[in-house]
Amino acid sequence: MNAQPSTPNPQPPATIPFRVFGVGNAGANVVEQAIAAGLQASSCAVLNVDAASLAACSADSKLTLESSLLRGLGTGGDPERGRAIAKENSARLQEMCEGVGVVFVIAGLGGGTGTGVAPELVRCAKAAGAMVIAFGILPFECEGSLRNQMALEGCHELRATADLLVSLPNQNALAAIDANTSLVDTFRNTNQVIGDLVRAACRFLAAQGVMGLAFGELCTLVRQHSAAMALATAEAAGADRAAEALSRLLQHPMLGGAESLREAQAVAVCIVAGPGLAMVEVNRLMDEIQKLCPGVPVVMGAGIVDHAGETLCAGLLVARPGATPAEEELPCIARNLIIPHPRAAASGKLDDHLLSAEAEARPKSRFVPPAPSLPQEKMEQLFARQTSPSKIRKAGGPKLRQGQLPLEIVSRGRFEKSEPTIHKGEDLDVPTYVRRGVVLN
Amino acid sequence: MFDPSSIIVGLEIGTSKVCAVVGEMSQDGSLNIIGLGQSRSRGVRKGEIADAPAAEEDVRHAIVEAEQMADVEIRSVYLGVTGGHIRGFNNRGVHHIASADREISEADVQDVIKNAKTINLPAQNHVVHAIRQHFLVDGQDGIGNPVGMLGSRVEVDVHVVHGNLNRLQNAIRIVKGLQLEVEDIVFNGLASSLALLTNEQKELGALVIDFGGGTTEYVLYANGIIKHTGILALGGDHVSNDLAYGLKISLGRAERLKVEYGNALVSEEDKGQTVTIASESGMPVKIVNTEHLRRIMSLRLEEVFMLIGQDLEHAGMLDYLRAGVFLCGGGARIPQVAKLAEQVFEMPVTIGKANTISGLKSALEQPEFATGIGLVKYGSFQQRNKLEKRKAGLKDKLGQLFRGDRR
Repeated sequence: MNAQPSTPNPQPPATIPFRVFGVGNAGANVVEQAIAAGLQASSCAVLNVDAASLAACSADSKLTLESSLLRGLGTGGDPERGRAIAKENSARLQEMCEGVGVVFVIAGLGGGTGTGVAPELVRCAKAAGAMVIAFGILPFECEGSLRNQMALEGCHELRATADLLVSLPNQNALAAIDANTSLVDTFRNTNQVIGDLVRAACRFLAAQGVMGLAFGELCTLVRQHSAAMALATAEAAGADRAAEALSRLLQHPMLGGAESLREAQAVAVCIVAGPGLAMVEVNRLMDEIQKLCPGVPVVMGAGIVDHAGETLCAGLLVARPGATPAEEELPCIARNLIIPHPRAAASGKLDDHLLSAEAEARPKSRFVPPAPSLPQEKMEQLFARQTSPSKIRKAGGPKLRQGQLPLEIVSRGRFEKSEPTIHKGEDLDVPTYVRRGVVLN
Repeated sequence: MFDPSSIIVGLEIGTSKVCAVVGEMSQDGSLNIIGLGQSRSRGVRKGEIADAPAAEEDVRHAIVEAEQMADVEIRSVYLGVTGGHIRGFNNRGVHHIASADREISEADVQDVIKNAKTINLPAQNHVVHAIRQHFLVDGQDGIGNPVGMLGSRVEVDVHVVHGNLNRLQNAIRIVKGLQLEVEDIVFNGLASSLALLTNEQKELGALVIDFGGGTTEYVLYANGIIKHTGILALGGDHVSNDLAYGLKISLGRAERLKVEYGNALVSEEDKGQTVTIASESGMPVKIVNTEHLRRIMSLRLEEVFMLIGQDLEHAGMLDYLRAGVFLCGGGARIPQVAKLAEQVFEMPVTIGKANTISGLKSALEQPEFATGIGLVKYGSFQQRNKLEKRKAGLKDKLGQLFRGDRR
């Protein structure tokens, strides 16, 4: 690898290098944490439907997403509402992204605001000509299957629109806490971890590249391999800073253990330090990482930041086995692959390790029922019908949607009078396509 | 002209057809298929008798046809049994060698096998097979015959196939009702595997899947012995039923569509293709989307293979398969079914052919007749054992005669 000057960014020169957007409550909290840890408040923006929580935030630029549709209430956990409100405000969103080189979008997925607004914001930023790196925070598994399902759908949508989606499963943070950690502390910890990631990413962007590729190019390269992404960063100072940074990187909760590198599709390494960065340090770091993932394509970039002092900051961008960009066209296949790696949640449990390795071995044959997906116009239509001041309930709050249980009675036909074939609680006499929810249109 | 013992008949009372295969064993022990009779089955659901009078009539038809074709009189049959109640598991028997010189004798081997066959089963269950696997001497695995070896402890594994006695009796009663003798009952999956696999394939490790009308049996061989058997009460009937339900057509029509247009995989060309169903007078009655037809079939077949795969994986047996998977039964006729199975199991899958015996070419080539042919083969093994015993018995008697120690 020869030292070479960094290649110029293909995009038109931007006046502001980057801007960090926190969407929804989770996004705002992360941004708040990052500002407290040293990120410039001027490069941060926060979007929320709730004006009160925005007022408490110290970011410079704030936007309250107001709409007649909500009548002062939140999105009520409905992403379709979030989406409609974002559409209403799309001009302002685009204005905020105007002239920005890289937009970071941080959103907690699974709720109404994060899941609905973030993809719209990404679209607006793309329209304004920015590169978009999205951080999707996935809920804890204990938050319920509905929330997780919505988060996955949001994840899928973000992945399709953003240049890069880094998924950050909250569940991974469980490994790092003990029995006495309070709920508040847990969230503070995860916010801090995610805030650190964002700050590090900003630093990578700001660095002047001296070796290999710039951060933006690394992102694009890694994305070609897989769209399921994990990011880990670490900082260290002192004499042995390279080794220390590496060990912290590998223990990072969002990476899910050093073994996960072995199964990665591609790995990008980013190293940023002050002008004193030694070739030996870079060499040692890259050597160790390459040893950990034999046969996996590795790309790297090293940069210099003048004011970094003694600290060395290293980042690992790992493309997880899973959906390749081509597979995104098939939502039913892609959807089961963006599920956060279960290994991290139960690190050290051999069974889980084997199970997940097997699941990756033949993903095609595992069928996952597709969730009902609606075209964009249909969604808007439904939403408009629901929230428009209707004749019937003019004064009522947001209408609650009532779920319906699948009560279709499937006749067992030929096997009506024979002993049912029950396997693990499933009546196998019922047609497979009915049990799996495959829709024949 | 024929020695009656040299005629061996296999009878399979299946869900879609009843089939009787007549084999002839020559003096040198080689087997030849000389006759075949079959009849549509009406009294069987999921491999078990649901309508005894109808089943009895079908069996009679098949037997008569086989008798005519082979020009023999059938007196006894080897009966194939199946059904969701049949289970297989491995059991181990242990025996300590008491003798001072620690040499394992024939008696010790008999004892350990007896121990292994002592199985704690519910009273209504009947052991269909107890197949001997390998011996272990002092923990050393893979011993074919331990007689003459030294050791303090000998163990043996047996694979036990058992089923509900009453439900097994149903089929036997029907055959007995036709004044036929039942020589032995044989698990259908075992019979199919005997017909399809060569010794080399059994040694390498092979899985035989018999995808029948009402049930799917599977048998796994590794290192030359049966390691695992299983049965799913799922088969071609389920595919037809799914089609009838999904396409909203009658069962008979679904059956015909399955045979004519069925495919185990959905291809790009199927998109938008349609099939017009005509009534007897030639008027179009209904238009069916080919893609839907194949999607419904494909999902069902994939599920069956996946259930088998999961069971084998659970038993830790998938890694033993080095010769691959062999398909037989009516389901093996579905176009591209081998390709689908290849995708699920990720190993070579072939449509099995009963090429280990000679005889009627037309019968041996068909995957449906694998069970019947296997039953004859099983019968020939039994017959050979009996003959050898009889010969040995005669020799003993003569010896006694000459030595003059008459009882």
